Amino acid sequence: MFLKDLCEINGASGNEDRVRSYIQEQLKSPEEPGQVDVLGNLFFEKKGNGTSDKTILLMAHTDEVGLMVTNIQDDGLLAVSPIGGVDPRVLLGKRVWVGENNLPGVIGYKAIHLQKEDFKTLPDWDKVRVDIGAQKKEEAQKSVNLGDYVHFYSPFEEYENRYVGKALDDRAGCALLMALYRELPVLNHRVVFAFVVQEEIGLRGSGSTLKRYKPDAAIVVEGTTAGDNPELKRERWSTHLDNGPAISYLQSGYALDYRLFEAIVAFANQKGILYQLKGRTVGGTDGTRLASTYFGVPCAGVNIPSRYIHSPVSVISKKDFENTKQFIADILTEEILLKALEVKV
Amino acid sequence: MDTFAALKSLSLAYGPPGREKEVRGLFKGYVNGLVDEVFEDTSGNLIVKRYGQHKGTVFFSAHMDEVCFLVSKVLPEGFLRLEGIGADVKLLPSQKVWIHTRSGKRLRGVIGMLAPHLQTEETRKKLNGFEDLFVDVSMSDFSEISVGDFVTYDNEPFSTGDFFFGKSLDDRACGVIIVKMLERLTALRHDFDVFAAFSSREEIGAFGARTAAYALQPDIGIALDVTHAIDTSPNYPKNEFGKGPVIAVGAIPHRKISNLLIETAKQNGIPYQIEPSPSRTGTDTDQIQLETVAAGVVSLPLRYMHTPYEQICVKDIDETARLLALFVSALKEGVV
Amino acid sequence: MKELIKKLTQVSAPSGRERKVHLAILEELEGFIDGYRFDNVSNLIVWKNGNGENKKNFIFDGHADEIGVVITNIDEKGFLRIDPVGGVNPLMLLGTLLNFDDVTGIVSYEGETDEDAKKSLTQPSYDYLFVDIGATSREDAQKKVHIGQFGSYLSPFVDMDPMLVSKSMDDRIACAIVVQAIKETQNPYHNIYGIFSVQEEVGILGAKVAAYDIHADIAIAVDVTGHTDTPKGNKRMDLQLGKGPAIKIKDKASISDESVVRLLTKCAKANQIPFQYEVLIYGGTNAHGYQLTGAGIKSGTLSIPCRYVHSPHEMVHLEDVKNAVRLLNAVALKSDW
Repeated sequence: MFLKDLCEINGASGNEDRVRSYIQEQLKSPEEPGQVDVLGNLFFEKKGNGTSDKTILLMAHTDEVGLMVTNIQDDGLLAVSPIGGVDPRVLLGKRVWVGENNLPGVIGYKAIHLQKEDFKTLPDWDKVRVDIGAQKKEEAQKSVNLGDYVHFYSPFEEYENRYVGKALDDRAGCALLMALYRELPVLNHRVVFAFVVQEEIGLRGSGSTLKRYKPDAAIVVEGTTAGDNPELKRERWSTHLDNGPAISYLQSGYALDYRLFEAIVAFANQKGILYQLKGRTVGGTDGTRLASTYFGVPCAGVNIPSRYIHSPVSVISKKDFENTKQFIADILTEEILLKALEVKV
Repeated sequence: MDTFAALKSLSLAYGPPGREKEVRGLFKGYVNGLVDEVFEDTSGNLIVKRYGQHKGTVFFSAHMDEVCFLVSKVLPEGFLRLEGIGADVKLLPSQKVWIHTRSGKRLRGVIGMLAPHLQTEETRKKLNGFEDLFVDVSMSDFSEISVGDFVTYDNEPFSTGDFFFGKSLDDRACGVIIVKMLERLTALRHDFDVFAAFSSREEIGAFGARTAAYALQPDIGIALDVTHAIDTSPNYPKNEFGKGPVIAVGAIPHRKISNLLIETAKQNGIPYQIEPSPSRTGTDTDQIQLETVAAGVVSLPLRYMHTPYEQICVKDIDETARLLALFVSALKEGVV
Repeated sequence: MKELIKKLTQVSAPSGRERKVHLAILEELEGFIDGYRFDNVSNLIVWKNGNGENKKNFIFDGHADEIGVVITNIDEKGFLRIDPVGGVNPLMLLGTLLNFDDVTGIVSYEGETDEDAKKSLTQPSYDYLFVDIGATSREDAQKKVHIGQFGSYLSPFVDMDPMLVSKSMDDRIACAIVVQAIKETQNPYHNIYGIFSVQEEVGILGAKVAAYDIHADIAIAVDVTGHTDTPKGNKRMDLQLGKGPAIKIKDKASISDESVVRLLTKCAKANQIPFQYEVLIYGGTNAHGYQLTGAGIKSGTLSIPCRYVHSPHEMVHLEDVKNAVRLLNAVALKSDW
């Protein structure tokens, strides 16, 4: 199953090659080998039957957050800096993979016995150091270079109704797109499946889809924040696992297209489809980039709730994954988005 | 090109973001005879094109605009309040400045500070912000000054040994690198067409570079900017004078481009330094990449960034120009 | 013009929900324009053809959206939670009425203990605020409102001649100015594109795409700016109501193109229209979006000094507004740009 492989492949922003190759390998066919652009975005096109000249874009990003080796100390320890939004607190005492060859490493932390006032303080990036077992700079330099990527160590786990792994933001979205690509029948219109890069460091890959495919509307599928735990009051949860696909209406920089939002919600209500509306409006997605670049594209956000994103152990609900996939499939086959855009103001 | 003379003229030139006319004029003169096309675009960039064999396009950008100030309020009796663009207010006490009026005059201003005798315990320790700062223009005809007039550092650039000191070396020294690269290209074959933008308004968001990249749609785009030649943090290596151009490696700089730059340096015995870049580079490249361009950053080590006397090593300019010219001439069709 | 300003400012249309005000604007412009369209993200673009020999394409932009809030949660008792749409300081909401498509809500805050209550007041945050629409239960509330529903301030238009006060002077005053300028410019020299753009308040979104197909020569964003003419107003800036519209030189998001500043200055001087120059030490306008469009459009901002921006009661000076209309007319007619 795609998700396990996808989560275990290391691919932080700027280093998505292996994620991309995996997806391309799995989906390609002689008729549609998949297209890759200069930034590393991967596209698969599902042509329509010719009835409609419209294009719907489905998007998920291939990159995850991670770290980069930014300095090698004289004592052989590696200084690292975050790629994307990483809270140093999730890394203390954790295993990591270093570099192209996935060398094992550890973010060691001072023993509790030795801490004094520093017991009560939190480290920042100046104190977070990766240990690959080198005792001197020269030793470290034999296997590590400045600019090498460091990824979270996190073997994927599957349970009856849960998946646990790193990078569910947004490999869950990628897995969903892959499944849909295989399962969707030929529709009246074209559907472009875009696996884009560098979302986590500024929504950098998605803009390249616009001139290439001139989509009429887009659905961005993210592994989105949940926050549904005892430390946050229920009224401020973003989403709740098992409550179904999470539809967004406002995010950082963009109020998602009114017409698409209303149509999707009305459709779900009409068919009695389980869904939830996001409870928070923080955070950005590629939808903002798509709506604000060149000629703009109206976007909808249909997402998979994910706990503890941007950490080595994210958690999603299997049911949510399946339901979100089915919901998006139905939205496409019933042409909900295109019909919504046809309505005159 | 006489590097020292050019650096001096460029350092003295007036060029706030969006008002780079004088600097544009200087660069226009410097590229004369080295390029096939020169023009100013709607964003105020100076665009130059030097054709090769049309096998691809490589684009360089260096910004012309400087860190400066604006008059935000005119007070009675010849005083002004300021708003800054990129400047550190701590450097301003006792700074001489020029106020550039709408009518094209350059008027003297002085940023004063209370003499020690008149200070109190409290004021001595206080960090001035723009709120407390004022410019004394009583020595000039200040009736000509209005809100929105630009204000620049007065400085007298100088060189000593291999080093050059002056304002606005960020980023005009990199503009000099582009010119020297073009000079070297006259003696080399290059398959790729070479475009360059002496760009506008980088200091407020790199707008010039973005619009230039949109218009030119290059295959490869490299921003030339300055980087700190000083220990910045324990998390990053120190970039040093005289150790060669700094090549950014990371997420936004395209791997093929940084590898090619490193290869070129190695093959030609050019010393180089690596700057790991996990996220935004803080240069024109952040904007250039968004036009689906294989982007890169090559930086010139510089000390005292955004102050009236920035410091660079002139040898670094030559070495970087050499690296870039050789890089360009090695580009083959389909390299990205 | 007061009626026009009242009409446009009183519409409730926060970022992402601009349709109502777009329809009101089209109603006003009927018979005065040569055409209109909505682009992919719902910017309203209208045009009036010029007849000059060397006519250019000029954009006059006023953003149609206002700041507001959105309902994110409805609890079992029928109280609502909200998040801001654009820059709404939670402090501004305490004691304010909100309007959700004609359902009114009162904002208040949590406080289980005295200390909590104090915290809610001194460090206001959307985490501690809720909205009371007088519902008795979740089901009752859901008959009147829904999650994902957008709302705005509820506050009256007040005529304090020569001052005018209302919510959303930012930026409906600009919409009114552009509408009036289009109405009054019978025979423009240049092609005038009136863009009533969307979603400026959440991140200058609409203006980044509105001009994509237009090939504009200049873009003038009309927007409110700050003020310094109240007791102990900001000491570093200089903006006064009644001194004339402000020709912006710089804010945090853009520096006005020299040619636009010159054009506005020349037109003002030639027509004896009072004006002031503006340097704003915070904020941004749609000029940012236009200067980044495509290969770049020469852009600038014409500002209306405004007191109490982003509060439920924003104040402008009617003469500044009228002078801005006159200035835009002069620009539309200026042949030798």
